[in-house]
Amino acid sequence: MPVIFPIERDDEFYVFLKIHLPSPFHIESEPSSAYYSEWMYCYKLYEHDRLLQTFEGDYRTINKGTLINEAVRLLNNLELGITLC
Amino acid sequence: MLIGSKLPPERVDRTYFHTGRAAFSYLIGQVIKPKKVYLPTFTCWSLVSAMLQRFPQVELEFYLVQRDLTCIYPSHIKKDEALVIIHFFGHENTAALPPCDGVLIEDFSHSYMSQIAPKGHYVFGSYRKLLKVADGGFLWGFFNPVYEPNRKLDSWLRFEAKDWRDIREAENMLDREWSISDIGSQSLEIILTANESIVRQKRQKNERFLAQNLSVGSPQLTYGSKECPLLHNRFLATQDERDSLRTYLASKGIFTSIHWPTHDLVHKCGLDIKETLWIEAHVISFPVIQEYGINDMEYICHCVDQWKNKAIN
Repeated sequence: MPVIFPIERDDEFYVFLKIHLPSPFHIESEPSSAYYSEWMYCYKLYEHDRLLQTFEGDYRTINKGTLINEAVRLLNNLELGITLC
Repeated sequence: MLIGSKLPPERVDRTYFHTGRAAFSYLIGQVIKPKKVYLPTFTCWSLVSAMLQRFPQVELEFYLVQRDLTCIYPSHIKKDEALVIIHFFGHENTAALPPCDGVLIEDFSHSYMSQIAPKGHYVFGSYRKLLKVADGGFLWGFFNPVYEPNRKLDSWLRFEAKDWRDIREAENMLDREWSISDIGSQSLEIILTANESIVRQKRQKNERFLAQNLSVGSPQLTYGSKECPLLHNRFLATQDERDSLRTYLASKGIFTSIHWPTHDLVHKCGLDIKETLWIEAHVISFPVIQEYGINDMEYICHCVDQWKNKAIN
């Protein structure tokens, strides 16, 4: 699938996958409603209604590139027909 | 006289940005370049954050704000200093300004529809508080910034949002990473075609209804006839009551907010900020946006009455 934009930062993970995940996969964000929680993330990857994986953490403390690599890995696996579970 | 098929473009009296904090940062970094900036202790944390992220070398000092929003300004603004004043929630800030050899900057994010005559040297703000736009900030006057690149993925996400989660995620994206970039075209069209008079009338009507009919607490402000309320702020007697009411209203589908939680830097600034903290602990902010009508305000008041009756019983 052609990439509409290259992912360059970890915090582009959610939008990158939202745009590029093919049906029936989709990703949803579950942000905290608390004030000053902008650095905390929680994203859930689904196939139809089945939760496949949760990505959560703190953008300030993850190793740089972690989510970039994860996003690319996910899409590559889908391209190759590797089952995500 | 120059006659030709291509002429330099005309200039308009507004300069647009992706966000209010971008406009503010451009002003501080490219236009004024102060050595010191004064911000109120009661402020949107995005201004504090902008100073910390972009201008760590600029001295940042706070001035006190009372619970009725009276500002206790520094005694004198020296040359190379800038004082930021805010017309909170659409209400004119009439506190006497100090003698100024520096620069006065007015934040009109809450009040650009309030028909307030500016007193300062510069006016900036965000459009996102009063209008339903994906992005938008402004400076009054013509400036010619070299904008930073920005893919505006937060704006993209706002347009895709189906519920509050993506709106919140978009806001988080903006808070994590933002640039001094241009406004989006969709937003500009909405801003330039908005009927400010109608927006003001509708907000006034909603706010007046809440002010007259809410059966708990007391209003923080009384708006003037030319002012456009950003929201209706109400003080409850205790923080527990305030939090209980917010939770109850959320269960009824009514989202209220707190304007504003106090930034960590303000906690550490060394001033006696008990009045600022008192506001944070007691205030509940009700929406009065122009997309809502009196039926919605009646529903809010009805739910507040229900909460009150439950508390009594």
